[in-house]
Amino acid sequence: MLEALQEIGALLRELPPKAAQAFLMAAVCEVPSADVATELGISPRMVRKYVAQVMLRCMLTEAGATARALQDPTFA
Amino acid sequence: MAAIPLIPADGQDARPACTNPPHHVMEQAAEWYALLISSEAVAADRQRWLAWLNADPSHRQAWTYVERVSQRILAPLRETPDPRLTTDNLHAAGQRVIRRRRALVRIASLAGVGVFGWLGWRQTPLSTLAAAWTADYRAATGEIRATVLSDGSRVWLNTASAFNQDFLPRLRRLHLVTGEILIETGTDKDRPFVVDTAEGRLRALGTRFTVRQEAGATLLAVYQGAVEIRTTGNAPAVVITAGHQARYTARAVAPATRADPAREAWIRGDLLANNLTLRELADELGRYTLGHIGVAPQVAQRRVFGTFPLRDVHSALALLAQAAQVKLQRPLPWWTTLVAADDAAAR
Repeated sequence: MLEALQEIGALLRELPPKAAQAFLMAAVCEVPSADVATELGISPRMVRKYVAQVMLRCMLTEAGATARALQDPTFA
Repeated sequence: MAAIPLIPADGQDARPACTNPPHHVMEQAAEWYALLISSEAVAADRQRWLAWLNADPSHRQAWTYVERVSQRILAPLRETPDPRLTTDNLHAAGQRVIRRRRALVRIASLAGVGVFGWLGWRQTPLSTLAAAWTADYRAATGEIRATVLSDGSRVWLNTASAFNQDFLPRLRRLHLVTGEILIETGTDKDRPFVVDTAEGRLRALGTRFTVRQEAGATLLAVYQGAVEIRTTGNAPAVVITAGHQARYTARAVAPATRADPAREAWIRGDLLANNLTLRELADELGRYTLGHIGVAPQVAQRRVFGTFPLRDVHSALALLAQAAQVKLQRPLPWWTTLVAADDAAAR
């Protein structure tokens, strides 16, 4: 539990605040994406984009990907 | 956190990941995840996702990373006594929506891939799934959840279950869309408490009972008080009293039999086997995992006794192998077959 917290905490600090917020709300708290969108004042499409970006970052960490992959330019 | 057969943690993976999937495949997997957990996902999206999953081994491999993140990082967060607090501490997340959402208390989670198990949904009619995805309350495959309704009634959702709540001024109504729920009704003399299933309406005359939607039938087990069954086909109403269970279709109610107290153990995350066959036990465990659990015919009728953890199917299978003196074959990460112990080496 503590380990998971530390891992994701470190990861989220590197992300744009809204991306991190959208991900925590949608993936951890299971808030419906429409509500996340309203709460953060962004479109549902943007919520999905943020969730995908953060998930990808987690996956790459999980995959032990190279530093180069982590700094992928497609991750804005 | 429970293991999920899809991702063996013990190196039994038939295809060790020597190289990671290409970056664009990892991206696709992340995009699928984002779509599938969103409230915009529709049935057709699941079909397209499955097609994508099966299109290339690298897709499935990328998906294992989604599952691993979900199990290893997200699930422990969801299981904290108050995920809202946890995530707020991690980040000043918006509070109002989350607090509202917390009305649904999660007592346990096998998390995995959330609401979209690939074997699970493939075996369920799409219309049912579509209804389940939009239901008021639901539990994913492998999840066991508890919730408290506005009248104080408590409801536990078993794996892969969903129900809708419709509280009217003169009636408290739940509609079981799929799966199984255990209900402890709150007291409200002026508003009867009913549960509707595909085959009929149950009226709670007492307090504690489980309802399980099966294919073409409903199984009712009453542990306290009594429940009246009225089928949609207008069979004569039948009252089932505490300690009894009955299965009914739209047209008829089968004679009541003794309710097995073991049937209640799932709310604590236990599967109690009291003289079950290996086949019955594997089928029951199979409801809690997205993977497939097969049983060789030679051992299917062996009798099993014991308690098995539903939140950790991987461990449950290992325990079962010991208890029933069988071996586990795992030709694919999500495929487990129970075979006779002396067979395993020969194959």
